[in-house]
Amino acid sequence: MDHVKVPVPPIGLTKKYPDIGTGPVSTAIYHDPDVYKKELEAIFKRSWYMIGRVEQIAEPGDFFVYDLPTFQQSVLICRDRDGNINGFHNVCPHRGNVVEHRSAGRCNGLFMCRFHGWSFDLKGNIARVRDEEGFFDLDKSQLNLKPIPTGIWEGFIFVCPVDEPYQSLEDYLGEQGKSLVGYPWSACTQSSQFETEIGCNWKLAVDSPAEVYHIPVLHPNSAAPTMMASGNPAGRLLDVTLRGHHRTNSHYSVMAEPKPVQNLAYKNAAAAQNVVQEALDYDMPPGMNATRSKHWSVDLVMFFPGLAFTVSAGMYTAHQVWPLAPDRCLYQQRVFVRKARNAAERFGQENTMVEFRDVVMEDLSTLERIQRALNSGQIKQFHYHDHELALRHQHRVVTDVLAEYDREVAAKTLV
Amino acid sequence: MNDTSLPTGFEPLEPFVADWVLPDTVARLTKRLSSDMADIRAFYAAMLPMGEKALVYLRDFQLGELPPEAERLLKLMLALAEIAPAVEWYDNPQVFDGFPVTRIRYLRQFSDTAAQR
Repeated sequence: MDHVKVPVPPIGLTKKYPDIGTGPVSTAIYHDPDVYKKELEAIFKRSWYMIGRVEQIAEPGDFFVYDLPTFQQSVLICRDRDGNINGFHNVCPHRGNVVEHRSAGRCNGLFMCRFHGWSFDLKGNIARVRDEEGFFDLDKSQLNLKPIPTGIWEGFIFVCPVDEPYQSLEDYLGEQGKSLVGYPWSACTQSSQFETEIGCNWKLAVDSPAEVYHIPVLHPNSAAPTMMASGNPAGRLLDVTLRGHHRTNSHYSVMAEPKPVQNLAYKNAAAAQNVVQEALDYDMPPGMNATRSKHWSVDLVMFFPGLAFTVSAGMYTAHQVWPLAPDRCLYQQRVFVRKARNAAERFGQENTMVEFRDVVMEDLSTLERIQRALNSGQIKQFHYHDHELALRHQHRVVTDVLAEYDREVAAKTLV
Repeated sequence: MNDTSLPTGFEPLEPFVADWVLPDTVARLTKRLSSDMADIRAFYAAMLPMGEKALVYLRDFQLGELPPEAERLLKLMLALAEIAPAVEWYDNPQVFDGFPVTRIRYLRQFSDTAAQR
């Protein structure tokens, strides 16, 4: 393949945001247990969480159950006979067992607790108390399933773990959400998902894909050959956009020399791959490839605190990080691809899924090692490269939100 | 026809069917991690030259409607996708210096052969 002469992305991303600074930052927020406790209140309880897609519950009676590990909550999502999507805490109001024990399925209109057989309809209303005459003045109006705040954005189902959300889903997603409306999210109907617990602070797991300064070194044979190529030896980004608490990295790529099996997939099984931009079957929304570069490959679209999408022209992935402790988190990766138009394209899907998984295994390799250095006090400052701006931004947002929360608490104490 | 047969023209790959036609992604990953590189390389070397021909053949079939021989051929190709990084990236079944892949849990996998909606 020709080595096309292409511009090297310049240094100068950080100076677009003069208030964000350029100095080293303290690493305390990456391991301090008091900071972690405060983050749960000031950040996590005030955010919304993506737990699935509307296509998973296409028909009335379809349901799925999803855990919010940070909050020790189980959520039951279903579609009712009016076509509405309802979300409930998956807790039986009798004695607290889960109302639905299966992870997904289609029910006949009633969810029945497998403990004592109380049942509830698709709107969460209590339908039947078994042997009801044995109870004492039950007020059944108080025994419906408890709704969880639920919202939809571009076909993604979001929930909020507190009864009174601090902000609406729309406000939470903000300009970052609006800038991606119109991407064919729902065309990628096929998904796979894995998860793993990692012994690191949630912010390290978020940082992991959020800079590409590491790509030539950590991914020398996997991602680097396609992401650096001839024109971009340092593996720089095209652009970074900061939008409130959220941010997007726009990745540079020149297709260099794909490895032989990649080549088979790209040439013969295109459905699951990054289709060439000339062949788009939709109008690219403004939040994607913001610089409209010909050398664009993928955006990493980050929603603070723990959700990020890698969005390319033809498919996308979602990364989600759930804090479990100051130095422990759950990482989840979903890969979304278009339906295979024939059996050959199934091979392209597998190639894509395996590549994303193995590259992420390379990414995650550093995290527990960094956490050890943080916990033992061996690294007290991080130094960020210009193209590690997303990490600097996360550090700034966390620091600012916690300071604001301190002021809120202080003001309440004064009253 | 026996249960290791492949479509006409793919007979040279039949010796690999017993070991490399596996039920799903997790089974293929397990097979990759438990195989030595000599076996992985032998499979790769046999598959790669037939890869283009296999995909051209499979292009004429829909998922959910695959005859058994075509299904086995597709599953061999899916195994090729799984072991490709071991050969092309790492020269090792494991991700080089990677996070242990044995610590991940699949919550959902693409079905190998079912029709996709």
